[in-house]
Amino acid sequence: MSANEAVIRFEEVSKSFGSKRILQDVSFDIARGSAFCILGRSGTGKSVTLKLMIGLLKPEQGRIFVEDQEITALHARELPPVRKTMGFLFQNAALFDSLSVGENVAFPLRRHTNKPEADIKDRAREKLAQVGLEHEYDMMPADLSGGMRKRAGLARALALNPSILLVDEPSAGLDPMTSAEIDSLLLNLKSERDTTLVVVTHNIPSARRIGDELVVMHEGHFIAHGTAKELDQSDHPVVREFMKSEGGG
Amino acid sequence: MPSSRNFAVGLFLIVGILLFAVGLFMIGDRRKLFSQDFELYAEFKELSGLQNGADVKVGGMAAGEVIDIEVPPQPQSKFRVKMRIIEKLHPVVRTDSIATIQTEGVLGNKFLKIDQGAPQAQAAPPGSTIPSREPFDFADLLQQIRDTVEEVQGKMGDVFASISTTSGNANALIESVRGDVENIISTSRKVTDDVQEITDGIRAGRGTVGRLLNDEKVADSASKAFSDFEKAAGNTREISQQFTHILSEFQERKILQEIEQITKNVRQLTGQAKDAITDFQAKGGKGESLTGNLSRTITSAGEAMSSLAENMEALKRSFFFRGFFKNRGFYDINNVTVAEYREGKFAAGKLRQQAWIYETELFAHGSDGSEELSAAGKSRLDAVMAEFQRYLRNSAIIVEGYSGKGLTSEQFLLSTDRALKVREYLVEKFRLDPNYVGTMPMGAVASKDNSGTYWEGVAVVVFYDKPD
Amino acid sequence: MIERIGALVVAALAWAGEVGLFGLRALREALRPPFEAKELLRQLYDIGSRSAPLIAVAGFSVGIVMSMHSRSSLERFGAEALIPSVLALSLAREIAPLVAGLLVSGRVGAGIGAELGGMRVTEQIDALESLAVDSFKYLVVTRVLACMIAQPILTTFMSFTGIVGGFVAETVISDLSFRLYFDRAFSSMQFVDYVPASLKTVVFGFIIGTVSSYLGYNAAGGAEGVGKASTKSVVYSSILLILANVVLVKMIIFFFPEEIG
Repeated sequence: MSANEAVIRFEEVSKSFGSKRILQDVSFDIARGSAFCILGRSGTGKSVTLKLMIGLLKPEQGRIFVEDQEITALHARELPPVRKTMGFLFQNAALFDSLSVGENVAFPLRRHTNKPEADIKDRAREKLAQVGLEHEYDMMPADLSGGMRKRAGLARALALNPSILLVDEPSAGLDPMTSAEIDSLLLNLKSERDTTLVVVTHNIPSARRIGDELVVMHEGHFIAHGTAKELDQSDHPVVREFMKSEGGG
Repeated sequence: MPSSRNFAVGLFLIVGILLFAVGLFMIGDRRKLFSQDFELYAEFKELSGLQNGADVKVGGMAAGEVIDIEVPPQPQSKFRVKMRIIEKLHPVVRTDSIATIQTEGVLGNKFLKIDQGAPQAQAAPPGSTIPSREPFDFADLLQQIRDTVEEVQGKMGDVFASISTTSGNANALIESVRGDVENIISTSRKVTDDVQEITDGIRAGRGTVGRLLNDEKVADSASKAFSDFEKAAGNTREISQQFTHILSEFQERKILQEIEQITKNVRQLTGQAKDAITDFQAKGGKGESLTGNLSRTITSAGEAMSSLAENMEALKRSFFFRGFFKNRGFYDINNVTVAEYREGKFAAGKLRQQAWIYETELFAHGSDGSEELSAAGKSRLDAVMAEFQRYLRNSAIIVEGYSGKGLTSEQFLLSTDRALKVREYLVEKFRLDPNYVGTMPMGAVASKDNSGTYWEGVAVVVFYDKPD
Repeated sequence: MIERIGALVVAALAWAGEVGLFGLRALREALRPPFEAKELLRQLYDIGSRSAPLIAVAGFSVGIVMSMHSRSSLERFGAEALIPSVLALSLAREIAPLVAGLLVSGRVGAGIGAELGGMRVTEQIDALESLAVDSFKYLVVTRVLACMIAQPILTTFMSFTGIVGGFVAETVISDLSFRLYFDRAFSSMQFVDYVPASLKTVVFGFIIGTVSSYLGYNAAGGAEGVGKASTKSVVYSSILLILANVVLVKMIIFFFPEEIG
């Protein structure tokens, strides 16, 4: 559909947990450098879709491509190279409790680069500075506020300079101000580094701010796909209702 | 904090491994795994629960452990126990060190005890087998001791009973005389006393009798009578004293000395006593009372002593005294080789009588060529034994087999066979103690007539002690 | 009723099979690079070094108590001289492996269950994966290995502190020198009493590490799930450990029949 090169491609992907079907024959492409927003109510399978992209979950049916590589055909041990090109910001940041904020950010650098200690720390500080946490290097995650945690999580996700960033509910649990801050961080990233963003949210204002392309998930299907404006004009009742809700939080 | 954490982990690992190693070392040290050692063997018929890994103690010091127990291939063989002993203790483990299986405490573990050897013996070479003593079976030991003791006691009881009969008879004799003697003594004493009283009264008193003092005649005759009386009384006293002395001497010394003599000369008596007694009996046949008693006593004492001597022989053969008697020239027929026998090592110092019997006199030939004792052969043997009868007590008989037919091995087999057949007959017929009757395959021995032929047959040889 | 029991048994076996495969996977992965040495070191610190004081104190107390008990019964036979040897033998053969195993399954099992459970429900495990880290190797293999390494060492600690405890209890009554006490303690011990019993604790470590890692790694259901994983880790690993002990002791006796028993 988009003339641009597809970075992520889903082909008739189905996923269920037990007897509960989460995704049903879902197919879509995400263009390089775009911001792809997946909308929907809680429990409609948005996060599942995100985890499928990075191979944390495997679909029962269908194929998923990342940078033209079929990750659904890869063995668990072959996934890391693909994952290194992707960043993942989890809903609650998922910082490692046992490590300081700085070490959380340094963690992927230590694992995947052979840089000397000083370089790694510098790089981690730099990443923290990007999200405005340059002074929190030695703090423990438990001592941070929700917004700071999320920013630290973002810094960690960006540590390896991924070309794709997957974001799960960036505004969840945050006040609108902080939420907006995160959104602007993401937009900066997209404009400055040409990072492809895939954002799962049920926060419509946030989606409007970030998304080039929006999809709405309902009962395992994409029931709408298009820009925010296109979706506003959708005649699907669920989509209309959803777009109007302006729901946050 | 990683450096202090690494330190803690390092400490944890190192202390843990060190402690574990200390444990291993402590056990290994007990097991003597880390010191130089050498291996020895000992053989036992009965293991009494000895196990692999059991301690080995030399002179009470922990010296190593049992490392292997070889099960015997057939019932008659013994278990072969392989043990490891620290080199440090090698100097005290000699070729004559004896291994025994012992129990630690009353219910403790079994361990192998090795005695320190004699200084003149050589150090036991590694890999050698040292002598062993079978573990004591207490029940067996006690039974054997009890049997022996009872038997000896019974015989001794007989001896003492006879002796007490003798002295009883002597006593009766004395008793029968004593009444008279004592009567004499007491009578004489009474007389003497009365006389004394009168004399005293006369000397002291003046009364009626005192007046008589003036009468010289009366005085003279009285004093004469007194002196006569006194003399008689003195004689009587002397006689009775002498008699008593004789009796007591007889009672206390003579018979006791006899017993002592008997007991002292237990061994010598056995042989001689019989002859002496028969002689004595023949001569003193008419002798009744004391002589008869004495000869009877001596006879039974002699018999008792001879069975005592037999018991002594049995004792010698019983396993726990065997070693004790070995050095006393006691011989073991089964341990003599033909060569040693030929050299006269067997029963050296004993006298020998020999009877040659030709094969033709002894054997009838079966249809398959095998030899069987013929009736004539048997009667020939009986005649020989009749001749030897007087040497038989405490004597050993060796049946020498001779054969010069065929190869050396055939000679050996045939001479063995002949000797065995004769021996079997002799033991059975004359109820000889099998331990005292041996065989000796002599093989081919040239006959003395220089005919170039060999002896064919057997020689019955009796070895006996020189008469003392 | 029988059907229900049958279903229960099948479920239990299925669960055990799944845990077993999980553990085997951990062993297999342990042999495949990259080796998470740093994380293993951290787990050794948590599981080993930090358990050491607990184990040492417990061993010391067990030693004192056992010494007093064996004294009261051995005294009747006048066999007080056997106390060190009886104490050391029972510590080395059974008490130290089992008590250390149960203590570790309490302290470490609960810890692993809670930690991994927490990481699972807060998506930290997913985060690790998203950072191109093999979470199984990083979290599970290191813990299982650390348990397997630490367990025999902790058991050894317990044996030795137990002997020291026994010595302390003994000095109150008699003035036996430590050297003699220590010598006597090892007097009737053999390798077969010491080595297999120590090595079987590797299996205990494996059980504790595997069961609690499995429960934590597969935890679900938020904070409540974490709590459940933690509790179950202790319960299941303790039960399995005791059952395994029966089998292992049987096996040791089977393989070394003459030396034991």
